[in-house]
Order: sequence, then structure tokens, then C-alpha cells
Amino acid sequence: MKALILAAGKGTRVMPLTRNCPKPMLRILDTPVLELLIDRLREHGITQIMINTSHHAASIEDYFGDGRRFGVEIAYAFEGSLVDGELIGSPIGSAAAIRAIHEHAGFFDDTFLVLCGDAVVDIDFSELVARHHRQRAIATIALQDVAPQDVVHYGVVVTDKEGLVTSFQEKPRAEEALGTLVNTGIYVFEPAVLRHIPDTVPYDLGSQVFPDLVARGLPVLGASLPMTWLDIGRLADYHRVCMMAVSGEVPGYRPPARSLQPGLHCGINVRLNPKRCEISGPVVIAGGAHIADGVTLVGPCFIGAGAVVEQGARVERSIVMRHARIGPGAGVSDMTTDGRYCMLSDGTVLDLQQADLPWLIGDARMPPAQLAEAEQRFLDAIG
Amino acid sequence: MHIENTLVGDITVIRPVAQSLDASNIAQFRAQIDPFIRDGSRILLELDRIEFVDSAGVGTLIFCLRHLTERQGRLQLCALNRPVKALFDLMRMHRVFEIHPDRESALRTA
Repeated sequence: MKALILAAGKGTRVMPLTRNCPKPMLRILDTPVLELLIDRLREHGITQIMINTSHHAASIEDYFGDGRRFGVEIAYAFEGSLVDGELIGSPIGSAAAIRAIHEHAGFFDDTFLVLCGDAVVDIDFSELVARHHRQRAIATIALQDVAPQDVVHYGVVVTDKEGLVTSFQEKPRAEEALGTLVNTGIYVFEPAVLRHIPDTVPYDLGSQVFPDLVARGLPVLGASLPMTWLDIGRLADYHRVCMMAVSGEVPGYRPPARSLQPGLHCGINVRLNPKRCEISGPVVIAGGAHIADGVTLVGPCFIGAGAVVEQGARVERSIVMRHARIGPGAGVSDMTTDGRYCMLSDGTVLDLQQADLPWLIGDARMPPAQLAEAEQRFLDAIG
Repeated sequence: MHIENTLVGDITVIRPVAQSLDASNIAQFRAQIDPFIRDGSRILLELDRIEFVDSAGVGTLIFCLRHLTERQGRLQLCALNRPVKALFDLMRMHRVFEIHPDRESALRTA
């Protein structure tokens, strides 16, 4: 079976995480969201995968290549152009992407899947497709039930008793919502859907194709299956999903097997003396990281590959990304940091470069920052 | 930038009227606060207008704290905005500064 993964979005709502990488390449600890998705597809025998790319397209193509290492076949449809040696992304919309890929060489010749590449998903794709066929639907949308206060972030889908979609509501206020089943961005289509995608750019599935199919009285199924769907819409979502991964609650994510003590998993060549640190799990430390003596780690906590946590620092319920350096005495709490930005779980973003505090949080590969006299006095005072 | 000052009992509440406390305005801030910290007073610095503090701002606050403490004075901070509080948490400033959520709770501890 064939699938298209939508990976052309800019990821604006999770900036600055996406300043150097497309949203599907955001790592859940050390594994890109897109890789977790491709693993799930392969398990269900879906092995011919097109990925449409735009922003930071090269990072996706360089990582996945032709898909061989991941047990699938992958090809790409780039949306944009090469100008003066630089790839300039110019997304054309999810529906126009389907049309463009099909017009290239007739890829969608049978029932096919389309998935957003920026959510962690565990769903029985085989059962989803079986339901799609049973209802003789032209299109099927996998639905997830969310808490009433959360509908404002999603597209609500209203169905009749047979599960056929009757209407849509985009991000309604809780009191105006007609239901709590929302669109997960996981779709099954018949090739006949291509007749309903005009030669217009941009053209979108959610806001244009689906309402049009329903208006024409064509059978669009809304399927509620037991599933895990961890949407990464906002910085807070990213932090929550990473915390779940450290706690072993994300399907498909396996921490390093090496366990130094209960709740502490480490990759290879980690420099750490557990007797000289205070560690309460779950904590995952990736290969090559350095945790200095006198550090406190309070789980859930992830220290990325090559990251450094210096003496006396305290890291709790946080993600320290690859090669980040946490300075002596720093207090990293409920946040994700990449060595330049601190992104708090409530959405607050600090730019440590702008604050001119490289000794506090920095990049482990940079020469150690020189402390100003006042900063040294401050560290002495709290030391 | 300028600062507003109000005397409440024997505590001087100082409120910098600026969006930031950083390298661009720290000299002005120092010039204006110096008369108040010269003689070991009790100062409450209300930072509700400040959205951004950089290393120069932090350094100046630490200077004020040391200067006052050495003269048996006292420096309290209050009404920190979210980004400033987040930065102070990162530096674990509560280990050296007395920080309160608002003016009222700070004055109650006086």
C-alpha cells in the first residue's frame, strides 16, 4: 500500500525549535517524529512512501534517503525552487501536493493513506483501511476524542450514526463546538478523490477538499479507532510528548538498554558518577554526554548526545538537547533547551544569546565563556 | 528610562519605567538609583514594567544588592514578568535575592 506524508509545513507555532529543522524532524528525545511514523507504516505493510517537502527539505532527504535503512521505499516531492544555490520553500497545500505527485507518474493508483508528518501516532492502519472499504467511502478521516476545552486548537468533525461526516468546524470555541471528535490529519483516500482536486494552488484538504466532498453528498467516513495521537502543535505539546517518551509512554520509542540504576538509562560513553550526583528517575542520558559531580537530575529528564551539565546545576522535568551545555549552578526546570533558547513548557521563550549569558546556557562545542567580574562574584555568592 | 520612587514607611519602592534593564540603559538606571542606595536604605525594586533583562542588568542588580547589604540595607525584588522570572529561575537568583510576587506581599514581610 502507498502513503503520502505531509512534511512541507513551516512549523511556525513551535518556533524556535523549527528555526533549523522542519517540524517532522523534531526529535522525540533522539528520534525524529517522522521516523516514528515511518516505523508504524512499515509494521502495517505500507512501504511505498512519498514525502512532500518544502522548508528545510534537505534535512529530511539527507536523513531518510531512499528509505532502505528504514525498511521502506521513499521518494520526495519538493515544493519550491533552487535560487542562487539556496532551496527556497514554497508549499502548495496538502491537496495540491496529492495532485502534483499523481500527475508526475500516476502514483495513487489504489486506496492510499495521507498523514501529517508532525504527530506521534499509533493506530491500526489495517483496521482503518478495512473500515474505509466497508463503508465504501471516497475518503476517511481518523478522529480522536479530545477534552471539550481543547477543541479550540483543532478541526471538529461531526458525523451521523453511521459515522459519515456531515459537517466541519475549524477551531471552535468550547461553548460553540458541535462535538469533541477532531481531525487527526490521518486520511484514507480512493483515487477518485483526485477528480475533486482542481488545478489550483494552493489547495488544501481540510478546508477545501473535505467540505466539498461532503457538500456533494459523497461518503466521507469519520473513523474513531482506539489510537495514540500525540499532536505537536505548540511548544507545550512538544515538551509533554518528550516527557512521556522519557517515562516510556510513547509507542515505538525505546530508551537505551543500559540501566545504571533503576530509572536511569544511558547511552555509550556517558561520563557520570551516580554516587556523586542526585538522580531520581526516569532519566535518559544519550551517548557521550557529561554529567559533572554535584548535579541534580529530577525526572522525567532527557540529556541529549554530547550535552554537558556542569557542577551544581539542577535539571528537572526538562529536555537538554544535543550538544547543549548547562552552566554551573543553573536551574533548568520544566523546559526544553537547545543551548541557545530555553523554551518553557508554558510557551515562554528565553534567548540566552540576546541576554548575553553564554556561561549560563550555551553550546558544549564552543570555547568556555569568559565570566564578567560581576558574574563571577554572583557565582561565588551562590556557590 | 526614568524611575518612580515612593516612600512606604521606611521602605523606598523604586519602579523603573522601561521595557528592559540591559546594556542600552543600565548607565541611566545606575545614575538614578545611586542616590537611593548610597546609605544602606531599604529598597523594594518593582520590576512590573521590565520585560527583558540581560547580563548587564543582572550585574547591576547584584551590584545594588552587595552595596546595600554591606551597608546594612536591604534589597527586595517584586512583580517580575514571566520572561524575567524565567531567567531569574534559570540563574537560581532566589538564592541571593529576596523575590516576591507583588508589592503588597513584599511590604508585608518588611
